[in-house]
Amino acid sequence: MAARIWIFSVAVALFLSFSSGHDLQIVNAERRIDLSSHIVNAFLTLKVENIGKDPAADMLLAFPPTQIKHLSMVQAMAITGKKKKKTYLPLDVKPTEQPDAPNDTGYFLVSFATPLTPGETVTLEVLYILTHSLEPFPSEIAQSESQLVYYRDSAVILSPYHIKQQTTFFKTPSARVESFTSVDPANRAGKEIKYGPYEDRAPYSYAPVIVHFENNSPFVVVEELVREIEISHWGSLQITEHYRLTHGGARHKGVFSRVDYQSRRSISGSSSFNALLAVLPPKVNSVYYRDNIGNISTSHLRTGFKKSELEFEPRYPLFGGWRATFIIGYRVPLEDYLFEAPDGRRYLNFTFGCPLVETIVNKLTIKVVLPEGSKDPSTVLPFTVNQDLQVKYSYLDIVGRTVVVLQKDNVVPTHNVPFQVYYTFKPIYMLAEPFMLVSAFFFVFVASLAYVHIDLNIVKK
Amino acid sequence: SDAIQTGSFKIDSHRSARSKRRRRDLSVAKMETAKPIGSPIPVAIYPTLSVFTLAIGLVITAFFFIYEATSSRKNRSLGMELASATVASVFLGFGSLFLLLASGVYV
Repeated sequence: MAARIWIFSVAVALFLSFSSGHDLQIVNAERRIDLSSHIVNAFLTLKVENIGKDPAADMLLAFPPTQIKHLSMVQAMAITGKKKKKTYLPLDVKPTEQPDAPNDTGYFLVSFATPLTPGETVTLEVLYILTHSLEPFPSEIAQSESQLVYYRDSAVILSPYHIKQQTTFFKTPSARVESFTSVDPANRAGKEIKYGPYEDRAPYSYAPVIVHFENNSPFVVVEELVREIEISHWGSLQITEHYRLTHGGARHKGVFSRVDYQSRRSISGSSSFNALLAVLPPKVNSVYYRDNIGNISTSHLRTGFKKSELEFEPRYPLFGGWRATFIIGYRVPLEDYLFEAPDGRRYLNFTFGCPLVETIVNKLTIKVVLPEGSKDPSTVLPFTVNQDLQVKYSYLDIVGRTVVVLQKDNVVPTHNVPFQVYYTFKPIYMLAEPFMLVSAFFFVFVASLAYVHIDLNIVKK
Repeated sequence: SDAIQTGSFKIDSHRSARSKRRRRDLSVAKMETAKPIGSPIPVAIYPTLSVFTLAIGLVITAFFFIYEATSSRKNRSLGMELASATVASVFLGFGSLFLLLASGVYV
């Protein structure tokens, strides 16, 4: 009997120690969800208090299983100081698994800079980005109709902790909101829908709401992007990008009337887009834009000191479900991107992600082609990607060039951060290419020498 | 993860312009301490260099072939032939490399 009680109490103690959710409490939570574009940005301000007896080193952020699939990025910052003198300290966020997750909830673990002592509060600002979360409804629209989408979320923030007070704001791009689920107290003022304030909600409480609103922002989705960055130690970096672009919104049904499209542009094809903007590095030259047919001339390049902008148009405007495939290539000088590390290795410092603005990339592949003779490649990235090594044979190659392949899914413009690729290279290997050319010419001379010297007479003169 | 900016976090817009400038200057200063690697020869002189080396190479090739044509079997000197062949091929090889680089094929 005593043994059974002892085993039960140990089991309870173990259960309590595993569920690290019970000694923190969220005093105030404010969530602002920006639904203006097809990339949903959510800002969560949490005031967390430690009501337990032990210092807390981290806390959990919970997401429903439907959102976890579409979550592109989660960032957290700790805010200290007041109004004008606020300092922001980035915190480490990692996805994690909890053994007793109800209904397949997904978790992210935020590690505090310094463990939170009992009784102390800290204010955190969390940004999370959702892709493919706006579902077009109706799913098919004609040319003259506007695009309406559903956004599904909860009025109450899903959290493993008790939340004392919370408010959620949804910001829509236009004042046209067809409907929104009413969870008392909820009201709408122009482009903003306010859910709350809600008091004293238990952990894991969830109140599903659907907001049905008009969103005509361009739903530019790149299904696949392959970016090849070729390093040449003779002075340039050649970047070639292969795009497969689609319109990710409500599918187009019926005919496409060019007359309607051109004469009544404001009503016709309000959710379609025909212009795209790519932000390129500042000192860019030899930019080309072409596809399988040939060169596409509808483009404008504006070079600048901080960045260059390439405004280009596909051959036709894109309506829901339509696709466009094209290649953009450009060259940048090498000294802006290749540096020497203190330990003698060389590294390429380049920006990850897609140069197009406000686009989601479903599958991004970046191939960094290192010059022949490079050894020991390694990469430094602020987030996880799938890495691979390949070999590419290009001009004047004998053994081939090492290619570092980085692959990532669900990429948003917030992923445009610098990354580094380190490798070792002995400068003497640069002479291999001219040596190959010199020996080719020398072979021609030797052949002509041999021809002149060889005596093919049968009878000696 | 030092000095790696975590992207365009929208909270940046809440900061004052002065602290933003300070943060940008700091990242520029960090970049300047890293030693940039460029081409061993300035890229701007590739076309000029290719013209001159190819010209010299072709002149020596011409000398080589004229020597072959005008000399007879007896007073032909193998050393002279090989020397001019080597020098000509070196100049022609480098000249064609710079020609490739000048025309945009960065090998």
